[in-house]
Amino acid sequence: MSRTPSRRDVLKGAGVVAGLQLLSPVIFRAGEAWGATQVDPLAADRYRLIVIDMHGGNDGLNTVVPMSGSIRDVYEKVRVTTELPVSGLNPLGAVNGGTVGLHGALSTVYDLWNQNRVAIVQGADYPSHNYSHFVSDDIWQSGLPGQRPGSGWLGRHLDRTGIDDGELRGIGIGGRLPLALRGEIEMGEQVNALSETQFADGAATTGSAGKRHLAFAGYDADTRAVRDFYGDYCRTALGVATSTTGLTAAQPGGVANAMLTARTLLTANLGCEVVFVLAGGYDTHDNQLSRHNTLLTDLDRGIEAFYYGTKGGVPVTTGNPAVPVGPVDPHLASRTLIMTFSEFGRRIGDNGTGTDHGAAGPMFLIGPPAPAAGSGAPVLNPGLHRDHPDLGTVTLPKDNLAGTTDIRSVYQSVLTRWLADEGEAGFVVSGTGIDGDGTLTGLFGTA
Amino acid sequence: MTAATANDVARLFGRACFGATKTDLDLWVGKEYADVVNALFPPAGLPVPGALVDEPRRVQLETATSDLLAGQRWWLERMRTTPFPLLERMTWFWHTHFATGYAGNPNVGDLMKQNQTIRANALGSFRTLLHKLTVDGAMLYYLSGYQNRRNAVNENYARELFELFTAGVIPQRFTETDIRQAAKALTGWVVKADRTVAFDTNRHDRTVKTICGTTIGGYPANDAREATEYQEVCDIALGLDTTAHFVAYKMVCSFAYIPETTDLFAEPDELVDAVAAALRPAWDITAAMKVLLMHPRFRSGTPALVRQPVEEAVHLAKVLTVNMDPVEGIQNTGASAHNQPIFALRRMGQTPFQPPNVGGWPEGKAWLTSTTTIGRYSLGQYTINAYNTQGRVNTNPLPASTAALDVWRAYVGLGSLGGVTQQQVQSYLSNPGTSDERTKQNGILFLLAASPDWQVM
Repeated sequence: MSRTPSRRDVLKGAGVVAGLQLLSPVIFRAGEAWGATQVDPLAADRYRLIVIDMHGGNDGLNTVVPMSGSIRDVYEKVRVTTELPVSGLNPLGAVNGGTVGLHGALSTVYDLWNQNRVAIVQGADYPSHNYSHFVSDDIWQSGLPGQRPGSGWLGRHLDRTGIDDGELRGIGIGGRLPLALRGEIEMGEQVNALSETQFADGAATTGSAGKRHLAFAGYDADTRAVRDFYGDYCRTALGVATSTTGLTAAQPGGVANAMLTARTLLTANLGCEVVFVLAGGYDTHDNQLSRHNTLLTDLDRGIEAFYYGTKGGVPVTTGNPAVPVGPVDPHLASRTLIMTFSEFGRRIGDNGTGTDHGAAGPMFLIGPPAPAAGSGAPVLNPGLHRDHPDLGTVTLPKDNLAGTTDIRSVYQSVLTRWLADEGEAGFVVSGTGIDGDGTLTGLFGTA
Repeated sequence: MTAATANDVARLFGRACFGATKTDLDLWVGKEYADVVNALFPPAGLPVPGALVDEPRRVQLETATSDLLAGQRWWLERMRTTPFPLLERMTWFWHTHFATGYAGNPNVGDLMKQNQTIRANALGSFRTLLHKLTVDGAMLYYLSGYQNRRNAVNENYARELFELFTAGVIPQRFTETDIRQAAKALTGWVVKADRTVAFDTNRHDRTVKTICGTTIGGYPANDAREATEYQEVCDIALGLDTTAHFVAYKMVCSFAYIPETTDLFAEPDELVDAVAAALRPAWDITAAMKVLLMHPRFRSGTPALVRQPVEEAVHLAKVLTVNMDPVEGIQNTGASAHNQPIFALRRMGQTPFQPPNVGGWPEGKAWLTSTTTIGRYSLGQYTINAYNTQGRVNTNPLPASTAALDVWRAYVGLGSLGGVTQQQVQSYLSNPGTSDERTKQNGILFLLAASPDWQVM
């Protein structure tokens, strides 16, 4: 039986940790807030990524919606009960076959679009599409079509760059630690809510629970099958509790909770680099119009809360007396990219009040305001990227949307152009619109 | 076979009965192992105990609409107190397999009714269970079956029926076309305003369907076979060669270990093969479970099963006789106090009737994370607090001393303590920071419930 080496093994192999240190808790570096006037003490040039998983299969066709032209004609033909009227859409521009508009619920995203901060990658999918939530989600999270993956694309990024001792480098928010954040060596940590990272009896290193917890951090000595990394994760739990002590995040509800938790962790500078936010509920087999509207509204307000500190225009506050959390630190904003994905789009035609599992869908990337020209900083090129998937004709509509963008080229772009990663050899795929290094042509540029 | 050791009994109960108590160990250690296993199965003719004191409350909850917490508390307490813990553990297993959540339309009553349907068949026929759940009210809501009609075919249930509930995809033996055809055959089921399930012939697709090579349907109007066409779909799924293996694989994952395989035939697992062979002929769950629990791969070997949060929570409550569903709240400190176990379980990532999605909860090492760990400690502290305050019925007789460690081990229903666990309890007792006997007793309990021996069996 093989197993992947734990961080402990790696550290041992490197001779970094020895003797009594094995029993020491991981103490993350004290989180000192940093802002525009401060230099990031960990890595001044480190860029951040927040990935939002619109889990369940987001209806891409009702997110970036055909607005005019032949694609609108086909859309109106096949969408009997789930058709969105043109009047509720915000125009995005021309694509092959007509124009598209943004679902009206995504008003903050549209506001950012108008600031030239949003790139929409159309028709994102992978070869040999799978219609299962679980199989398809694993492929999206791993970037490894046709395999039964044991690691995620962000986890392998963490493997390549390494996590310095004490860094809370990759964070999952919502549900369980996602495959995306599991590497072969390194692993992200799950921090669902800051109120839940603390031990019930107080500060981790002084409270009795923390002391007792520490007891089992010495379990490495036992090499039995599952327990072999028991001590490792016990130490990490203690480390998370310690490093997040005193941190709070406003929790106004919905996706905004996760986004403000992410903002707090990023601002506190615990070494956070990649955050994975689970936003579920998109499996709209029925009652789609109202459910999808609610979901997109919630997502939009999460993004609004992250950037502006408001939700639905109302200031988000925290503490007693209540203090508005305010806009995001501009320095942090200048280094943060938000990216959405979903394991699949939905069927072109509806099934009554909903839609069944489909294939390709759009991805949203939201970046900072344009950096100073000549600064050499990476620039997310706004606008619509790649072709809109073919819908067929009114007389013969397609059944499913065929992908126009290989997701691996998007990942490769984000890794190499945004996260300063060397990239992944397996992501270098060829195809129209893909450069020799596997990146999507024109998605990123340099200021 | 051979006489059951303390480790045998602790593992058997730990994996299949929400944990052992000292009473279980006293009763079964030294008996023939096969006799212990056989004794876990409810007597014939008593598949569903009807005389339990909590039964009226369960029936009452079948008409509940919104109080999810009440249903969750009831089930946890049933898990703790049932005289048939294997039956309840199987009910839990099928809930994780046929994961149905409290989301959208299903109300608590629907879920409670489904819960009883599962319990009534949990050790019976998998085929019967599958048939019943396919037209179960909560399931029809959760997977959109109630919206599935001939002019608006909804594939949601059909896909999960094949992918998650029966045939699986390791390897996959069905196609997209099969799913679409199966969805048509499943049309026509509705949930009426009084929450009963009915077949509406006007909503049923009357075309002929070919699913995995078998042709069904095409019956004339008002033909009685329309209303049982769903059973034909289920039986087609049962006829696929992967189904017995996939269900057996799920059982092995829940009760023993996660087999390292990505193809159940190309990379076979000995225990999965054995359980599948027992399950397939008559879909007899009892036969399959007996093979599983008596198999050498189950009985011996290193600890490999990471217990789920619900199992750990119920075990500790069972050992400490802490009521999981007290009328006034365990510590009588406010209206929400009686929901503390649920809140802690949320932090651990698992509450009944709230699977993250139809795929159910993650398994194995996925439970070993920093967040779930902190949640476990909260639950341990809460349960031990409750043990100290809930009516003070629990006068702990054991001295807080190293010399009594093995008695403590039996007290919490474990078969043995690892070296590190022993060291840590000894280390704690050498410097407990208190002279209060009860505080020290609580400290020992906490350490044992936080130990690897408790979580991994």
